[in-house]
Amino acid sequence: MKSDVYSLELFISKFLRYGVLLAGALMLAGWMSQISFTRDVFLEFQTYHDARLFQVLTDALQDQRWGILITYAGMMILISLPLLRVLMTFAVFLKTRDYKMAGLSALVLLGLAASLLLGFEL
Amino acid sequence: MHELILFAISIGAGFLGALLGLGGGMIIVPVLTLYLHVDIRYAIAASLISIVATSSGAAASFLKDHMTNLRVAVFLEIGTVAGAITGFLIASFIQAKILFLIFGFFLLFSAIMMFRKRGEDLATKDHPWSKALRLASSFPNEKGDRVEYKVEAVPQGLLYMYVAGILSALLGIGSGILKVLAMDGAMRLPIKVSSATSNFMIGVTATASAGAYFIQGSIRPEIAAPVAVGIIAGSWMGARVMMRMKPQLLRYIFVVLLSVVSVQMIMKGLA
Repeated sequence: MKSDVYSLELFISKFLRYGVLLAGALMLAGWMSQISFTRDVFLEFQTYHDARLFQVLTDALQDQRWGILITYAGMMILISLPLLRVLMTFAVFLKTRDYKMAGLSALVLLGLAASLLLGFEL
Repeated sequence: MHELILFAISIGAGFLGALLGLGGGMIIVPVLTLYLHVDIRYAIAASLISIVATSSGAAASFLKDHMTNLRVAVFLEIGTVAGAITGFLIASFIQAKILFLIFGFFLLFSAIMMFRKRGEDLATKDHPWSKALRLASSFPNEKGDRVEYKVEAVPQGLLYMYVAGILSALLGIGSGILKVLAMDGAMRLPIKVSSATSNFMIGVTATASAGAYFIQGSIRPEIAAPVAVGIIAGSWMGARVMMRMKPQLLRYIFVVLLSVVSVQMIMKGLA
């Protein structure tokens, strides 16, 4: 039973590795397509200003700045990978009828979902 | 041009991080804030996404050597995720200069901890929570024999993890040092098991706050892309040369560097 859980987790982790490579490739492609060799892009980040994700994405879509959108796609994939890992771990524990551990995994998932909701609120 | 400089530094941070068993966050946040003058909140958010990348990419190698205790990891992730949510909430209301001070003191603490000799002092009895959740397990030693171990002080370990989660979200770091302290210090797990389990958990901890920062709009692609791609590439290279290097001298140099940067961060916080 235990080795089943571990081999499934190993499979999930290998799958995550490909996910990281895909996300990294998208971020690299998006970043390279909009890189500036003349201006200091960090100047505008010297002070913090509110720019909600959906607003930034909408603006980028309207201005057809595909590089930014591709980079965001890569970041989105990256952030969803650990969520996916916990979801799959939950499924594995459920499949092996380890209900206590399945419950704990579900609690971790709930926490991750709550943190995403907080991002909308604050 | 500045982005390329950041990219090159991130490769170095990932490389050094892999050699010393640290995340790149402790290097990247000071570089972004002290030398590239980026607001610390953007720096923390960008650092978190790179931690998600390195931890997710390396999860398979942590599991393959059968050192990771998956049940302990899932249980303690409850503490780190709850801590990360708290940390994100605190970060939303705290002043930037307080973040510099906390970061500076944490770097100092980390530098001291890097000199700590980790002794193997295994648990002799199983905590009731460990029995209920079957946290005790075994790991292969150098000869390939299985060595059984128990798990003590489970509630204390969970509390340490909560604090580790807060610091991770607040400072954009993996808090591996605190996680290891909880597992081989309080819960008295074997060193190799606690290191592997800590590394395995870091991605989930970082995601809890990275996801919130991402939706909030604090993770900006102009900063996050060169940092994440650079750290992924650097840690990949670092993992390949790790076997051929003796990092002891590197560790001493890094401790000195860490101490200097910690003083600079504290000064910036006090300015």
